[in-house]
Amino acid sequence: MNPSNYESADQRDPQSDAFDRELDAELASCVNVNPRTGLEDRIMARMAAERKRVDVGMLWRWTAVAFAALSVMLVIAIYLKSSNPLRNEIAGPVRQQLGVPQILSPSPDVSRVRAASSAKPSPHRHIVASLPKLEQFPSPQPLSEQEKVLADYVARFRNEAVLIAQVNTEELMRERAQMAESSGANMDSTEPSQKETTNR
Amino acid sequence: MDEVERLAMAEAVLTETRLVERNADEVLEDLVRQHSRLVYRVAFLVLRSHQEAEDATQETFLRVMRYGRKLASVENPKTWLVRIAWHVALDRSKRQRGRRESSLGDSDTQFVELESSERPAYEEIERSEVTAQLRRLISALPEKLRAPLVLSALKEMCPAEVAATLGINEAAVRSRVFRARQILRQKLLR
Repeated sequence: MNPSNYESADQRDPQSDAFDRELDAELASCVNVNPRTGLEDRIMARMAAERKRVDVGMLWRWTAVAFAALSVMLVIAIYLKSSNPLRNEIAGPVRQQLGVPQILSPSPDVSRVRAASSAKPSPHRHIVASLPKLEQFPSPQPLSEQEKVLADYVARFRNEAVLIAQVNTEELMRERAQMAESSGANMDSTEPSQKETTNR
Repeated sequence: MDEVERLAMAEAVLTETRLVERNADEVLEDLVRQHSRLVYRVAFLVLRSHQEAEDATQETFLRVMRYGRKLASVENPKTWLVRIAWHVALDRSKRQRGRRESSLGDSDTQFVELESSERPAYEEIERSEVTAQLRRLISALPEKLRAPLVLSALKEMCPAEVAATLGINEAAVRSRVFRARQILRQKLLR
């Protein structure tokens, strides 16, 4: 398309014609340029490289996101574990088996609120706040192996266990009574000698 | 029967998806093969440097690549590409100008290389001076007039396509080209 065609013929004069020729020649010199050979291949190669770069970037981004999510989950897990002490987890089922009432620990929300309300962030305060306060002091210890065996026996043979306990209790009472008598006799035998020594 | 129909439908959907995916790459490749030269020329019209024009061409197609699947739905890819190329080239030109202004001494010194011809040397010099001045005047034209003037010079673009590229009608293209030429003539003959 020749841009000089846009003008009407009556507007033209020799000077304008020369100008038009110059302008058209100038525009044509810019328009009739050709790129170096292989432009298409270079463009395709650049696009392939860009696509690869974007893919690698996406992979790294997703890896970073996954790592961040994992670390957040880990931190939450550790926090939850530290807010529920291990002893409660062990002693809980045994107490249920024996019919012992479960000691209620304050909810972790309460401890979190307490920790947040403290003005100065002190490490000691944080530790105190993170441990749940128990209603019973000293806090109950988990049952030993022997105690567990005993509890199991009581659960299985309740009558025999009661009889054995009665016999043991009676024997214990008898032993205590004997010990009290013998200690009373010793006291009587030692008293006169003490009197003698004071008289002397 | 229902299951067979369902399977057939699923297969059709899968095939269509594969076609769309393949089409995005194929469409892009077709665009590069068909229009890279035109894009290069548009960039060269603005930048007047082969290296810069090639870089602008590559940048244009990288921008196009980001459209992905939407490429297939572009109505007139030629004018769309020319528009992108024009804006990419303008951005580069602005950046170039900024760099040139910040670096000392380069802007004022321009050497014109004369081609050997049968005409006398003074005529050649005069002609080259006119050409250089014309070039300066064209680049000094307001964007609104420069774009139609320059794009109309492209043989690959008909007036309707120039109009579509610039988002105006054909009559507006004609009048703007006329005004641009008038301004250039006045300034050059002054």
